[in-house]
Amino acid sequence: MGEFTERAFAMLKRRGLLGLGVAAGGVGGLLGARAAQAQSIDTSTSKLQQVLQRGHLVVGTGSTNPPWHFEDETGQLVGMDIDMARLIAKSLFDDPDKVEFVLQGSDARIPSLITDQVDVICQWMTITAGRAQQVEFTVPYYREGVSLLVMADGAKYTTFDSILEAGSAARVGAMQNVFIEDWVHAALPEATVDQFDSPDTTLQALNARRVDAYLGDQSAIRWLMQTTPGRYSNLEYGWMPNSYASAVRPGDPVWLNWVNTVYREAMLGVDFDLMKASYQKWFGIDLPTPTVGFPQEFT
Amino acid sequence: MIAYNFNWAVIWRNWDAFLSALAFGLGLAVVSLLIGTIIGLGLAYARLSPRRWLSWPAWLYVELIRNTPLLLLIFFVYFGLPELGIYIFDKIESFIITLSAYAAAYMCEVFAPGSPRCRGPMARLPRRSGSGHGSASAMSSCP
Repeated sequence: MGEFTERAFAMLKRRGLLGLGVAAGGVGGLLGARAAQAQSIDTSTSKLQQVLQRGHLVVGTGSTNPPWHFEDETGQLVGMDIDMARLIAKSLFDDPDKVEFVLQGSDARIPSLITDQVDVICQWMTITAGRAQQVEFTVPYYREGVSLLVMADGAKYTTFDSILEAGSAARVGAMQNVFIEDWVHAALPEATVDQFDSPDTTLQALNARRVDAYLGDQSAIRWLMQTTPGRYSNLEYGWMPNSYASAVRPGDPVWLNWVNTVYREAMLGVDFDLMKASYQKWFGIDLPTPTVGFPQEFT
Repeated sequence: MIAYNFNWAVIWRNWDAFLSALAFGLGLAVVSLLIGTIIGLGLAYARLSPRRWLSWPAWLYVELIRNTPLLLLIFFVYFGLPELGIYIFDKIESFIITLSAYAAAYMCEVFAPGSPRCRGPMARLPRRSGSGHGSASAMSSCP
């Protein structure tokens, strides 16, 4: 105990927080005060407290990618990412509308977190080890995979095998990403890859027949097949599983843990009905009710 | 405070990709500018021609191209022409064609104002400075 007390005293003297008279006041009191100080620093500087005090949540997202984040016929921002943002707002303020959306491109996701422009990213963000060195990811709320779309009329290749056989003659369009060429080549080792700046321009390249096939997220392809019936044909070949999660600024375990708790309980606990409705609405997936009894995520 | 650690190693690891992309971009620009300069010179002669059937289309072309954003032209040639059933150019060709067409209009504007036949304030400059009097042909005042 003696050594520890001496260090505590030395530290206090260096910091000039307390005079010697106070320091003599008793070891127990000092240690207690130090412990309390450490705890209060943790929670009061957390993003969680800042957001609660501010009274609304600031979320980074996009507006051009159904079914994740897009404007409906009335100009309202909707989608799965938007539902996740509203879930966080509801959990903070009992009001899903207390959200300010910062609309940005995918390349702004990490910078806007790092520069503290937004509290959390809900923008179809794939978890990768490289990104996880720059931001901290929450638990995933969707597992994405990619698939191929071709024109329904006059497509050069109408089956996955025919594209595979065509080798480098087959041209696949995809949204620009550092890893996207590897993803295409995971299923089509020889294919030529053309990269575009957004899913819209990629799809436009398919419409203009600049590319033979469109590599897209399965969620987006399901959406396109539903909203533009008869225009495209889904080759029904899925690969490249990748997890979508929210991200927060690194170094704030209180905020990260809180968002994680909200997400987990929406997938498996008290807010399951919200998650079930969102999955039904945006993906057409009917989620089974979590089993009652031993928490199924640990089985 | 920005809590960020820059990881420059990624840049150096992919340095060859950066260099080849730079060379590719510069190559596209040089080729397009060369083609554009040649067409632009021809356009400037047409623009300054006393024959209206030559000068008016050249004028229209320059006004049309110069008043359209370059990105829109690139998108029109790359995405739009195929929708009209014109598939002849691939991505590199279509970009070179677009940038050449754009540069040609620009270059025409560079070459043409030297003549007294041109309208606008720039056109009056040579006359004021004593050169290119009305007797000089439009051709002689072009570079």
